[in-house]
Amino acid sequence: MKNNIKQFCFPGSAKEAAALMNKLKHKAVVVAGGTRLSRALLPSVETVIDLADLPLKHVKADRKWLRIGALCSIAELEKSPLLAQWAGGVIARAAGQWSNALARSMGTVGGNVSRAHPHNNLPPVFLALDAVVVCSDGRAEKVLPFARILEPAMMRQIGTRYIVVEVCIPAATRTWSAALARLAITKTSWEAYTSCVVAVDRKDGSVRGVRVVVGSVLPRATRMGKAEAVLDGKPCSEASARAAEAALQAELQSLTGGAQAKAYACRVSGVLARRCLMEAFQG
Amino acid sequence: MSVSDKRDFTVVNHRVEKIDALALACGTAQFTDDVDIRGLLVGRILFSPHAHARIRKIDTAAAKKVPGVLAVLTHEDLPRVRHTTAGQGYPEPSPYDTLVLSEKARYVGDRIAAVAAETAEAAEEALSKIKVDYKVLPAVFDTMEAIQKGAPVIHDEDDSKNIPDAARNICAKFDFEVKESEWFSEADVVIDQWYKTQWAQHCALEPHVTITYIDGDGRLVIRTSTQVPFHCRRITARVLQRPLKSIRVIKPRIGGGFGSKQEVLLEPVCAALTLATRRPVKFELSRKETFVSSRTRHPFVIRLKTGARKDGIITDAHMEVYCDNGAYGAHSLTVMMCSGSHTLPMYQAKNSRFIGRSVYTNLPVGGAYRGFGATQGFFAWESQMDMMAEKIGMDPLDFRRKNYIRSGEGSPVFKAMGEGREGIEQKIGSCGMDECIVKGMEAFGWHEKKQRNRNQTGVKRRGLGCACLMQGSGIPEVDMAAASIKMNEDGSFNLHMGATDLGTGSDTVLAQIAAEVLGVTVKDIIVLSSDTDLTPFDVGAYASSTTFISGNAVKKAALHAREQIVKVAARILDEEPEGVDLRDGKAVGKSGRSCALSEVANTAFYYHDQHQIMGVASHTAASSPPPFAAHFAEVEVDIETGQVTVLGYVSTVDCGTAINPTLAEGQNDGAVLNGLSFALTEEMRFNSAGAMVNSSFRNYKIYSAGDAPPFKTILIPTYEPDGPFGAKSVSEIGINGPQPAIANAVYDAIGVRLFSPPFTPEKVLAALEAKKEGKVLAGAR
Amino acid sequence: MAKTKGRGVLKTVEGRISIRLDINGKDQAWKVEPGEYLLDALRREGYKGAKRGCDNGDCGTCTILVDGKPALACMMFAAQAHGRRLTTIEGLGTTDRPHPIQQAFVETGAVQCGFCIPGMVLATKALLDEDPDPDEKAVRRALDGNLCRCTGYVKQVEAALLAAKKLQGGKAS
Repeated sequence: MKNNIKQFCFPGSAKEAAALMNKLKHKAVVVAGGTRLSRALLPSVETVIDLADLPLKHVKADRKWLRIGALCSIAELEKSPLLAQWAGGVIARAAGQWSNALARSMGTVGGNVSRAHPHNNLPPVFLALDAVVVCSDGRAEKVLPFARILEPAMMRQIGTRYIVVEVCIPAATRTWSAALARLAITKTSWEAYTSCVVAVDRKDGSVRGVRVVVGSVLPRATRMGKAEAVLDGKPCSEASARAAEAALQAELQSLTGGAQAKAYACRVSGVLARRCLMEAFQG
Repeated sequence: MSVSDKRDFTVVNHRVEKIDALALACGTAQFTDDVDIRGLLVGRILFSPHAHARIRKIDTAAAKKVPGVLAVLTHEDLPRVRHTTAGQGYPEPSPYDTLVLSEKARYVGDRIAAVAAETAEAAEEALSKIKVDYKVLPAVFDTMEAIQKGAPVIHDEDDSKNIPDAARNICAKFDFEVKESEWFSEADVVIDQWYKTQWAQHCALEPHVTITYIDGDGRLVIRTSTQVPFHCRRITARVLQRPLKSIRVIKPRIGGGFGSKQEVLLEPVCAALTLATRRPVKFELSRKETFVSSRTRHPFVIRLKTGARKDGIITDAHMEVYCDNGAYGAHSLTVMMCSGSHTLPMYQAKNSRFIGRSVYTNLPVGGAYRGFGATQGFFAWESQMDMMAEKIGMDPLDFRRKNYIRSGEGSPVFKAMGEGREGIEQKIGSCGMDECIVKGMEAFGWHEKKQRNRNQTGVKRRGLGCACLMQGSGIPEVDMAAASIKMNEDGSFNLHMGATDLGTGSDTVLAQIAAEVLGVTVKDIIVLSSDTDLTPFDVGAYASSTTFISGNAVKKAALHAREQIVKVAARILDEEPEGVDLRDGKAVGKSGRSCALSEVANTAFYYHDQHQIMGVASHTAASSPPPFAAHFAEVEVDIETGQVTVLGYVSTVDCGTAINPTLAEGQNDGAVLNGLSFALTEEMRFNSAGAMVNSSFRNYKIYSAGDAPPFKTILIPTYEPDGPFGAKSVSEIGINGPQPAIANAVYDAIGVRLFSPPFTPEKVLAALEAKKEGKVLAGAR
Repeated sequence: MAKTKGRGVLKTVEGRISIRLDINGKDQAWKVEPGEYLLDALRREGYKGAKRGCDNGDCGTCTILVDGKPALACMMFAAQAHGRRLTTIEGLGTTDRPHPIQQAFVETGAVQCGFCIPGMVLATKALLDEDPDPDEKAVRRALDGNLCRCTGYVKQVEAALLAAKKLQGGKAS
């Protein structure tokens, strides 16, 4: 299709890539995994910056953080032995549930978190594990809470002002009990009615801390504060899970403005959350 | 036993490797677009953005000025020839209501103008510069609303032909009744139910694609992804008002069709641009255009009112169907009729009535699609069979066994209803239904699973369902196929036929039939199909006709060649021709002496009574022997989310002699999986303006290897006396089973009847809720 | 973070970008259009085994291997292939000397219309390179991006499992 592309750049570092991007501004576009840009490509774009060479393919843990490089493919997360051990393997499982083998092979962590799409399924799991995102603007690195990244104003700056360098997850979450569930028309469907991730920090059979996140239903992955509040300090029991289910359904209904088209998704989100909680309580 | 009736096969009924498989697996087999043609122009179509609009004026001046644009055409530039795009035997029993480029927009996606340019960019820029002055008209999107008085009239032009009632948007109608006693007077139970099926698309992986060019002799060559090369030639010649002899249609390898390529869609517009520019032109629909602007499966609204006696005999069948054809008539009459003609004979009710209406709406156009109306008809019928069985307290399989048509039996429906006209009388020559049921139940573990599923309590409930089916094998006294076989010096043969392999494996199956007759292997048969300049006529690949009708033509042609071979061999062997047999690439005499076929060929070419050994034959059938099938499904329904998961699926199919069991299994596997996603996921959805909202594989889900549930095909051999070596059709029947089998299984699991597929989690949960609240589900209407 | 060198910059000269890449073990120098997708470039250069089923990354008929990993040629700019190692179906085997995976697809009857098969064969190759002895579940997962409307996948899964056996047998002997 008609375009004004004049050059391709393959920077060797995030800093270099971000500096270039900031210099060229609207004259550049960033690609990494698989993209079909042609329909959205602005006529101003003259430079394509391909991030494929960035040395950001690591999955590693230090004392403070689990660090996942932005250029890791979804397939690599799925197969990572370290991730299989982390919070019940919830990140690897989320990666494995995403779309199909070709998308998992081409798609990157950076792309999955920085394209504002409600059906991408890494954002809910990162949100549930208190992730932060390290971004570079070419001069300095900036650390942002994951929820911040998902805000539309910030999302617009990823790939225009910032490059995602890595996603970092606090070391403490390693022992959390987590679970996820997804309801879609078929297993490999990229779109879902809803998806849900819960992560529970348990102590003596009670909930010490909990994250309940819903994806696919709202424009972006969202923590369900009311459901979390209902669970706080409560025993890890079916009664708690059912109370959370009701709270989540009410909260989601209000967030969707009671839209009839979303009624089913709200309802089954509660069901999935309850099931995830039961799994996490027992895990 | 003569070779014609032999049963101890050496090639037929063997798992011969598909003859084109290796080249396809190596990526060297050539599809339509896999050739490089110098100077090829890109063709693009301007599609209507409105569901219903009159075109006041089209201004193409600016578009024509775009650099690289060589032609811009509208309806004003083409002969105004109303035609049907449905590739059927001539004269087609369809309304002539279509122009290559439309004079009025009748749906979102209707074809308004066409462009040929040096590059895709130039073509698209030209499209954006065509100015169309539309007067938007009220549109109608609902089948039943469209036939009400006062609904917008979609075909108000005065030059369309063969529309029964244009003012009421009725593009085809057919009624028939056989009555032996007063309606429902003998019935102990009566069920009156409405059903509604959805819009769906074929989703052949290769989109519609056509390349046209003018060859060195000034003839128009159409290289195209088609199921119907000869109909394509005829229809294109007529609509462009060119002599038929000036057109050659070449069918290369085809990337699937399933009925969508039984329509002549791109060829006339592509050819018109080649004629306008004198340049080669290619049209390749995008996936979105394939969804919206090729063809679809007709949604049906069906009323089925049936009666049965307490002893399990079906007494009455009243079937009323409203087939939504979208904006044009295409296969309106034939698909509508097949919903009855393939279902009503299955169970022999004394009183049978069929009332069929095909209806225009401002939506995409229904066409031929694997199953061809029988799919929609059997959803209603096989759901209703379970409901009747329950009402009279009989096992659903026993109930079916009491009623299905047996070998030796006929049906008044066969005579009354053909495809688009009166049918023919026929008696069933082979029926393996009973074995289909018995072997299917056994392989599926019906009784064990029934036992295991008793007294379920959890949130996931399992249930079993079945469906029994039939189809046809070609259209009797309409479909005609021909083949020629010529012998080469090395004892190999060129098999030329119009039969159209679109990925089905017919080239292999037909080569097996020829090889069986000629006593050689398929490696000795060089197949050419099809090229209207080189191969004999064949109506094409549809109506489950190829193995049965083209197969008989090939068998006859091979027998014709065989006669000639035997005559020459008898002379070489110095024996009587009657005693000569052909086997292992040799002619073998009664004495046991033999000569190689190459010697026979060389003798004919060079030594004695010099001539080309060549067989030619044609075939039409006086019957359309139905294949039979039984399907068994186990589902698990999550009663909190409504999600239906298929745990297991077994289908048994009686296709007579499977000429190639591997390919026959593959045909049935593919049909069943398509049926499964048609039951559970597939649906074209439209917004309030009539535009399709899910026109990509991302949003319109067909099953992947990861989505497909475990399922199994079992072939049940019978011998069909009218078929080549006992064969009947196999390609379509399998798609008819999953919708009813799954609906029945869901009912078994949760006690809820579903009348409008696809059975999405949302719908199933809503139906469960309605049942809990004591509401009676209204059904489709 | 250690700074490594990227592939640098490719500039348009007279409307074309020159790229170098390895296709099926052979070095190639191509001139591509700046906004051209890899699928279009491959097909223009004669690699017709990569098919166009949707041009939207949803069907898998254009699957190739990039540095050994399955990728959709319709989802990459041609210029992004600069400096990469590509495998197309033409690089696996020929009709004279088919690759064991191709042979397995033929023997099991996994090929019907065949339009999806080159992509399916390459996805199988990527799987077996990584996991030489997969079970049915692993095969179904590895092939779940390659849509097929003809076969129901039954014989294609059999083909991949047979191919694994053939390849392992080859190593043993």
